[in-house]
Amino acid sequence: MADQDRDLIDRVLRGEVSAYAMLVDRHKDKAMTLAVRMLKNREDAEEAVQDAFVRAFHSLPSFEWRSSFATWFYRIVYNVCATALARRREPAAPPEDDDQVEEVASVDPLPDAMIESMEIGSIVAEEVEKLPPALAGVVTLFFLHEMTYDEIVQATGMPLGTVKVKLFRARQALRKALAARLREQKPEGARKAATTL
Amino acid sequence: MTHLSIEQIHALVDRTIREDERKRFMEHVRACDRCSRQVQFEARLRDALTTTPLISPSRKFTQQVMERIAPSPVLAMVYRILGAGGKILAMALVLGILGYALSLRLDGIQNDDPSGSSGILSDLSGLSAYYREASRLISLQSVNVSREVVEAAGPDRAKLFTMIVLTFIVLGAVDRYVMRPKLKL
Repeated sequence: MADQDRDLIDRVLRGEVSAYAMLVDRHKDKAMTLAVRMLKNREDAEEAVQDAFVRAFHSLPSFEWRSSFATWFYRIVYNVCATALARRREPAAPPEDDDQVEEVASVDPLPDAMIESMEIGSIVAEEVEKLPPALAGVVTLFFLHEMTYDEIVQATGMPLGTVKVKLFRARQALRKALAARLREQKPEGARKAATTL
Repeated sequence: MTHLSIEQIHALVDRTIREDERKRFMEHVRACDRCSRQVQFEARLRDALTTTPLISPSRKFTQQVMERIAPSPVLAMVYRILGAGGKILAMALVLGILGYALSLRLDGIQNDDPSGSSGILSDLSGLSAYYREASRLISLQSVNVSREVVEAAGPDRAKLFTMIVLTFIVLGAVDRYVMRPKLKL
């Protein structure tokens, strides 16, 4: 993947601008997913991703391969989205005591039968989109873009502790959301299991 | 028996721990039903998060990006003409305002006004330093050209002032609502 990116970027830098279209095609879906999850609006997200691709194109000559193109590019996407949120006066990372992970009581997992019966994939996809922008952004970079903690630190500019706390909070939020869905779907049998979450 | 913490379980399913730690945790998980179920759930959640369907932009997305990066020759020509037209308009406007201001200055000199600040500039005290600097920089020749334009507008200064303000508003509106969206600036 990274080799193909490198090859395409070399071609663009040699003057073959049309090769950039292939780079756009390779990264547009992941970039769009990140933007939609952060901005919660398809039109704004598409505009933000377009801006990110245009910025990346103009910055390609100064790209020094200190990270992969993907890490570098998703940092641009994240920053464009954060700027769009700031314009709406919705901070991407609201001030909070990020370095302190709250003590979480040990939780029991859902009973196997319940988990098996749930359409967990589609529910998780829906619930991620409901997460606050900062949590949704970090979750997407970590799980979908398969970035390491260090890469997310680079991409978002957040300290490592903050990244870890946000991931933790996102997982807890998703666990709660799954429990709530369980209550909705199986009010009788699931109530007992869901209350343990 | 001490159960694994939720952070340890996350680290286990994310594989962000050392191999020796992982083996130690897994030994516990094999022996502990509670932790085993917890790990199973977190692993399923992780799988779901890594395999959520991607969201695609509109079908013309790539084409739109490429048009912004390297517009077609016709579009590029249109942008160049619009850009040049905008610059000419802006330059004409600035020259008109400076010319008008300087014509008042010349009027003041001709009328033996020692302050040289007759006309509407006398009401704009904050601009006097700017006005003096502009007077120094603009040559008399360009002033004369601008004066002709101003004189053609007639003696009605209020009318001319209104015209300049309206021009500013129209240019601002065209820039904000037509040019910038069109050029995606």
